[in-house]
Amino acid sequence: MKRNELFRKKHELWLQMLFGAFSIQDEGLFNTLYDFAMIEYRHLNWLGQALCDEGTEIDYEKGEIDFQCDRNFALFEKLIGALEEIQTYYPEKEDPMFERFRSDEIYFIQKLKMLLQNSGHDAPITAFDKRRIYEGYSFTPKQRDALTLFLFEESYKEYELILVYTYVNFFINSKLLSDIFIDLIHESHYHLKSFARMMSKMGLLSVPRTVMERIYKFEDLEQFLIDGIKEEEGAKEECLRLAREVEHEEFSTFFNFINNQENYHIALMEKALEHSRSGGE
Amino acid sequence: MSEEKRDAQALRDEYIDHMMNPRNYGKLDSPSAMGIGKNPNNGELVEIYLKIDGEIITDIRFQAIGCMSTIVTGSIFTDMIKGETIAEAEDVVEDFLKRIETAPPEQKACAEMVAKAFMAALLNLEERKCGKEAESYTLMISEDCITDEEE
Repeated sequence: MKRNELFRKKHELWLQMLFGAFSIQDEGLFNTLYDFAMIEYRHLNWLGQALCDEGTEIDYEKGEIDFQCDRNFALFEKLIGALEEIQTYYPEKEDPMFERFRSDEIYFIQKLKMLLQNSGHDAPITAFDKRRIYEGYSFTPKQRDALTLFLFEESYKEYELILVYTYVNFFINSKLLSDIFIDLIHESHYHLKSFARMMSKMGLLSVPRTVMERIYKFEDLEQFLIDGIKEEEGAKEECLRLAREVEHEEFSTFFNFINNQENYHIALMEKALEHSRSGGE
Repeated sequence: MSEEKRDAQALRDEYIDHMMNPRNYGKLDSPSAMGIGKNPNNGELVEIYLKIDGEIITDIRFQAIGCMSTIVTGSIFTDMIKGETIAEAEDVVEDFLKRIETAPPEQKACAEMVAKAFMAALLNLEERKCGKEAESYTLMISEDCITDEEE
């Protein structure tokens, strides 16, 4: 398999594990699968860096992500199959990075097989049934629509940001810029998790659409940062608007909390812009 | 946007379904034509890829930098066009543009961007038939999605 195709496969596997995790309601099982998915993200990051260092062109094109199952056990079996399959694509020759991938994934498979031994871990998955009900809360149709649209827009945006910052980091030499982008990646992982878990509870979970190549393969870092600051400001406004529209104390508190985090993202991006303008790359 | 308009837009199941599973999203390898519909004011755009066999649109894909309304419109539009002849598709576009005349500005801009991308793809197809090697054709939209409220 060509190495850029392996990168695509790893990207798909990360999403399959991540959104599979999001679809599970049991907190303990969710945390286990989420940790595995985050390790898969690190694999993707290491692989991307290695490929860019050797001059291989990579992209974030992806096929359909097969993660929707009607029960936990069906999902575990699907993930085992995907983990077994990807190992057949790793190169035979000794390489510490691929040895690490194999070792991690063999453990994931063992753990998933152990989970399958306990019927108490099986349960129906309702993350895609479009019911749009958030247990314990009562929304008007207007509030529900506002929340639905916000979750779709923002879950895509956070996924896009993770991919863009990850890609930019493959080519950046400045430690300051790299540290800022790594911070922003952590923040977006947290936001994506928060939004996707809400979507899962409302029966609206889906994998975000493919990020267009022209979004992450850009020429002008300064313009990217200027546009990013504008987008963060827009996201802040959306959070404030939603906090007002949802008119529910717990949700409003949550969206205000996210809004305040956006303030710091803007400060980080302004710092990156200043550094970039002063000639730091 | 007015309260009335917002309430009138209560999300239907079909709309939700297109948000969760946009149809025909992505690129086509070696397309017969490619068009771009662009909003010059905010950088949003739609790309449409066509595969043509004779007069039939055998495959179509779209991708976008834009909001959910653009994605849903692209999903519905490409579903309507797929498998049609070019002439039938042009009729669909004409009808589509008429129907969005009275839509709120943001919806109108999104829908126009999709329609313009398709029209641009047809212009690119003509160019290619004439032997030009243009990879794509771009058309700008006439409407902006900024509402009075936002201004």
